[in-house]
Amino acid sequence: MREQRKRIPTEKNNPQSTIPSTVSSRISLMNQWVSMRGGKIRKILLSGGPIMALLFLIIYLSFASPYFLTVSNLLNITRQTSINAILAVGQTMVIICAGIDLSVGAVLALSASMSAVAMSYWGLSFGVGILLGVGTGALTGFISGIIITKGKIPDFIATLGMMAAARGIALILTGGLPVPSHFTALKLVGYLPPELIWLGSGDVWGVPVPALIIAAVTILGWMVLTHTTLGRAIYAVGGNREAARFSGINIERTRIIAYTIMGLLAGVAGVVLTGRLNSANALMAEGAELQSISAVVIGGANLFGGEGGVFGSLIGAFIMGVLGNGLNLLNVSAFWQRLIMGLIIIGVVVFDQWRRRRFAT
Amino acid sequence: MVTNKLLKAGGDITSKSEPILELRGICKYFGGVHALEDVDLELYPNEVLALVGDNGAGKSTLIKIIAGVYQPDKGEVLIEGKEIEIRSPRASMDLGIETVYQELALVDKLDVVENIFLGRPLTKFRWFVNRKRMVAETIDILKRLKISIPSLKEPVQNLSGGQRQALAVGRTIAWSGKIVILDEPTAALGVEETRKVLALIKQIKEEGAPIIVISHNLRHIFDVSDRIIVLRGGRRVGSRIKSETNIDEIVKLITGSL
Ligand SMILES: Nc1ncnc2c1ncn2[C@@H]1O[C@H](COP(=O)(O)OP(=O)(O)O)[C@@H](O)[C@H]1O
Ligand SMILES: [Mg+2]
Repeated sequence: MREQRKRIPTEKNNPQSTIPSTVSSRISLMNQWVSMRGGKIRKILLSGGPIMALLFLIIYLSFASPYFLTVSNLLNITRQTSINAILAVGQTMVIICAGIDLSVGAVLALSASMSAVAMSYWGLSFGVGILLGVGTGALTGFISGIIITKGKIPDFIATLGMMAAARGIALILTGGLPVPSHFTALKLVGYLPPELIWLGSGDVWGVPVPALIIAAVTILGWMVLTHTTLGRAIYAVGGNREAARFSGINIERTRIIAYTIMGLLAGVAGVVLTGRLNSANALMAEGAELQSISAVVIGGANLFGGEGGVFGSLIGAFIMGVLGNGLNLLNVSAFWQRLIMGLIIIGVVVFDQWRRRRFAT
Repeated sequence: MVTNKLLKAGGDITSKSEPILELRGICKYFGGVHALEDVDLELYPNEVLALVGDNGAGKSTLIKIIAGVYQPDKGEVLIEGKEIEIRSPRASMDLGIETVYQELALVDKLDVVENIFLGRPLTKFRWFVNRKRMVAETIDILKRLKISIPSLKEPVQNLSGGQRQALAVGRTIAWSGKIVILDEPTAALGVEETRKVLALIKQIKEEGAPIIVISHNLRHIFDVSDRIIVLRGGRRVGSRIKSETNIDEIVKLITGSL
């Protein structure tokens, strides 16, 4: 900081300031017109909350179960978390933009069905099938964005509609059957290419491919949000839409792009999940939208927009994944697991609200 | 450029020059509310034009039409004699019109640097923000403004009212527009801060950019302006050269008791 300040030329030794520059001369007249209040702003103490929670969970489960801290179990958690993590990155952008996408589970299923049908029945190659699946996701996201911005429909309603519509299209496309289907009576015999299976279940030098995909998606998402004009516009639009508009930011375009990225990532998740399950169907990933929203909220994003980040959401997704895995290892019944997961989400949000009020100002 | 020539020809005698900005017969309706009804406005080069009127008179709506926030329902906008449409805030900014809104238009959760460059960040490789340069320029701007803010990374919601207003005005100054619009720029400021803003207005005028300023404080208006336009109930009810009027007359125009 001191270094930087030193480099700023003062009026006397800056040769440029002898030339009457409009900016500098105007500004020089504003000397001291704002009194300085001592910068006694509190550091937001617990901003590392999610990562602390994750570490705590990991430490606890390491003691509670001998199986938890094994390489195979950790890789297993990573595989299981991959879908939610990919979706959470997209959902983060939408939520920071003060939106919400309830269609991601359905869009995932549609994209998965599309690429599975393309590869196993239409005889299209792996590459084309992937493009078709991911493209379908992006297109549905784009359409949601258009409906929301041009049609001035609330995000909640538009994506709820898209959720039903995408499931419907997926059902029509697959005839309600898993793809590939082995019901020879219907003459639907196909298979998925090995590359697709590799995407979902393979590994590179021991690292699961889905883990690599999570890493790539998260880093790209982080780059976009923090280092690009688009990302900064997303924060501005979500933080104060009117100010963003007055400042010349194209709000509609920004929101449409956020939904399109979300759709695209739902497509990616769909392809990965198909590879993992070795099959796609129209009803897969039910509830994935709520899972991704939970991950984003646990990760510290504000549902009213303007705050959040992909690393937080990634941690949120892993908290959910580790918790689910741990409860399984501890033999907690699936019914109780749901209840516990719900309580934890509520608890995190309540805690977060309290933290914001307590430490924000 | 027209402006500069007129400036050199050197007149405060605004009536003899061409207006740099002209609004004719502007109407703006919000549902049943007639916010503006057949309003004319002309801004001459190198003048400080004050826009006064009671709350709800339509002042903010009028400047938002110039700022591209609203489209007029009727009427036309001319810049340097040419009729144009200002379809968006971006279009207005591109025309060199810099506006400080009454609402300040800051994004509370973003930091000082991002708010200074809101909507037009410095970029590198086209898509990426050039944070380093923005930080350096912000430090420069704040230093010259003598606004000391604990940290540039501080979300602006943690700043005082005065600091926020300073930031909003400073942002406009930093871009040195061809026309500057200030909607209640001193509303949140203390005595000393207000004095600085008024001095700043005079300084901008000296540099040749015409200004439209809205304020409720008629003493401030009489201090800095050359001409005063009065709105009442969405209509323009008077325009006075400052030297030919007094506070009393303006008050009467505002309240409609003239
Ligand atoms: N966006 C809007 N929607 C509906 N009515 C509005 C809107 N903006 C302003 N108005 C109305 O238009 C009138 C003029 O408002 P405004 O221009 O803000 O007045 P002023 O700035 O002079 O106080 C008021 O009656 C106000 O309620
Ligand atoms: Mg107003």
